[in-house]
Amino acid sequence: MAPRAGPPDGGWGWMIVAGCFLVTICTRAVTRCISIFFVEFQAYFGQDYARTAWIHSIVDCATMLCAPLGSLISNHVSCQVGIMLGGLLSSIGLILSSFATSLEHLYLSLGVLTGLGFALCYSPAIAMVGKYFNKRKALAYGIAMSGSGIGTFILAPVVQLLIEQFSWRGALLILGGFVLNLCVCGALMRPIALEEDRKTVPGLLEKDYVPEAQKQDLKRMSLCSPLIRTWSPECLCYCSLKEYDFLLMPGFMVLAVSVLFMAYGCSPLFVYLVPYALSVGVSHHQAAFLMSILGVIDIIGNITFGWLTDRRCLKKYRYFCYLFAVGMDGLCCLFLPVLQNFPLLVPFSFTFGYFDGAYVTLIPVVTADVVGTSSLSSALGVVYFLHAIPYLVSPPVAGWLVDTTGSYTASFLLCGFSMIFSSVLLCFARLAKKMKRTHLKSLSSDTHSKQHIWTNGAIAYSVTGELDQKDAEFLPVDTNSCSNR
Amino acid sequence: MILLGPDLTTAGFNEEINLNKSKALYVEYEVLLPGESDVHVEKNIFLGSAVKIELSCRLADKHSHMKILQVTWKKGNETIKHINKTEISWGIQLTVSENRKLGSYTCTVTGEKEFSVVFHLQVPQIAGREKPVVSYKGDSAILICESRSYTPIAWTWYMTNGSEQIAINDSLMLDKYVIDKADANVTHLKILKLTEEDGGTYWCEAAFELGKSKGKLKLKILSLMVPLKPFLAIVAEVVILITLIFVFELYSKKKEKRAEDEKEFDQIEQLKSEESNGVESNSARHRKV
Repeated sequence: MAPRAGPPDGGWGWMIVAGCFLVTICTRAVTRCISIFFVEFQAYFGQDYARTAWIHSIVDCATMLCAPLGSLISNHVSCQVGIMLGGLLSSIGLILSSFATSLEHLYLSLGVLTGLGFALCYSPAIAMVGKYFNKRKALAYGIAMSGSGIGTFILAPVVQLLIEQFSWRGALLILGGFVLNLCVCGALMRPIALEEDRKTVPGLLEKDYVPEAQKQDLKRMSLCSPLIRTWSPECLCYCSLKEYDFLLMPGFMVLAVSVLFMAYGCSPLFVYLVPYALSVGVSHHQAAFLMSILGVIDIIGNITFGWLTDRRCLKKYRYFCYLFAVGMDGLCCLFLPVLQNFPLLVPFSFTFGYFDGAYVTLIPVVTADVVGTSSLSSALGVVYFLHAIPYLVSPPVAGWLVDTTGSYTASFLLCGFSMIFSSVLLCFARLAKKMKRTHLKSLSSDTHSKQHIWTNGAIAYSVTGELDQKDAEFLPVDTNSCSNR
Repeated sequence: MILLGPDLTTAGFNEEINLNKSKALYVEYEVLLPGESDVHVEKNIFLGSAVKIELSCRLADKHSHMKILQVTWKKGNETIKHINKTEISWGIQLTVSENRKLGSYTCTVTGEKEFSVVFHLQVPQIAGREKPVVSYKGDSAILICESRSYTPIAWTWYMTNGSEQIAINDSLMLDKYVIDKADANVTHLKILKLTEEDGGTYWCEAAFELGKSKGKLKLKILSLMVPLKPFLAIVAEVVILITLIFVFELYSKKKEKRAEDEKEFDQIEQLKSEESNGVESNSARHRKV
């Protein structure tokens, strides 16, 4: 198959979006629905809520921690095989759980095995969407990520029904069958070879490069692309090092740190919104309604924000849209302790839900903008990996704060400041980059070299003076190419 | 402990709850007449332990000028002597110490119109479970009954065999039934090694100081085949879809390859015909890509 000039932005791409949508349903929505089983587990195994709730933490943590493993497998073998393997593993995990005889058995089968299976599916599927779309990337991601909200909405009553009809064992068995649909999604992920994969995007654009190092990089990247498979150990080791060289990119490092703080800030809110609402006098029904609003507006935020940031006027400012969404979420959190009754909490749910959906859509887009499409799979693996520890640590810390201070104010303030810090960090990084660029421009303006052309005899590139990612233009001039025939 | 509602001008019940666990021995209940929509009102009062209770009925303000001909307090057919608390309220005081004293006490106020209220004094009700508990053959099932607000003295479990209710004695059948008595407010019945005959209706009976109360639970036993059928249906669907997708992929690859081959063939033909025609061209040959 000859490599394409650019992402198709449609056609089979929409099947990929459908596949990713189903992957998000089968992973994120199923994870959220596991908490519906807790009452049954508590009664059956005679354990208290805290020990049963560990299952949910283990699944979430395993899904995020093993995300890099998922990207590794799909990069080196194939995306289809990776996702199908993940689907099989998680299905087996759920089926084994239906025969569980103790809570520890559930921790291993439902927690570790299923979580691992989900991890093998989640980030490769999202990376694949990025490969198939360029102009409509954010919209495609919006539709794909909305799966978690829509999935939770539909799956929650269905799971409840299954438990009533078949008890938790039967329900887990049938859920295992449902999760097997991940294999179908895997089959949909047809590999696509892009021109871009042969040429490195990231290294080129982050710094004003010395030609020598650039030549070497290009040679190496072309060796390591999945199109050419050389399985010698040195090459593999070398290739995996090269694969992860985006880790040293300053843009990526800033993104990684900000993701840590952002994940820390957003996770306790979902856990503590209902208890907080109950503590200020909202009734059970109204508190559940708040959560529903959050879920539904999340979906709307996913899709509309994705569509919005695809518009030409906003496309250049996607980075700022992302940090704006995170900052707004943080601001909402800061206001939360002041909102003491139901009519005030409803707009909070609306705003928080909308911007939560918004930034979730933009995470893969911003990552792709920073590291480029070829490394997107591995980079996403790392980004989701960085979500894991905050997800695990943050709710218990918030709970401890609530217990010691006696009110929710401290924990919500901490969450709010964490998210605002994350967004401010990104803002400063971008400003620093701009300042550095103007400084460099003033230096290089005396040499009048706006165009740098490197040739290595086979492939020549020209990069125009604008160093911004999106504005870089590649003019591949193949000196050995067709004109000689 | 005097319990009166906050707003006496609103029609409807004018009462406050509570039987405090800390041995509050005296409670009062007052009902405003008439009720919301009806001239006859009913009120349920649950008593977990022996109490001294005062029941009273009072006329609402808008009827306070009604000429009252007669006020009667009755339990069944038996009239009870009442006291006039005020001009428009009348009450009775009871010491409820045994089951006999529970029942329905009626206050009837007759004047231009007749109003009445019935107080139902009863033991606390145990809520069973409406939806059946589902479990599988060979597995174990747990039936739970609880009474949070009132602490019972003892719990007993009954199983229905035909039309009879048989008490379950866990000390006799240790490997079949386990009754958990850890918490006085909750009881767990664990049934091991389930078989088809174990399905049916179970009763959990709570014994209070003043009487007994039962809750109903249903147990349904399924065989493993029951959830297996939908599971296998989904697996079949998955396998079919995967096969279809791979077949489609192979087909579209073949089509693309065929199209490429045809294109190359056409171009070779074109070159051949150009050569054979002896067409000379000084300009670079352009290949249609």
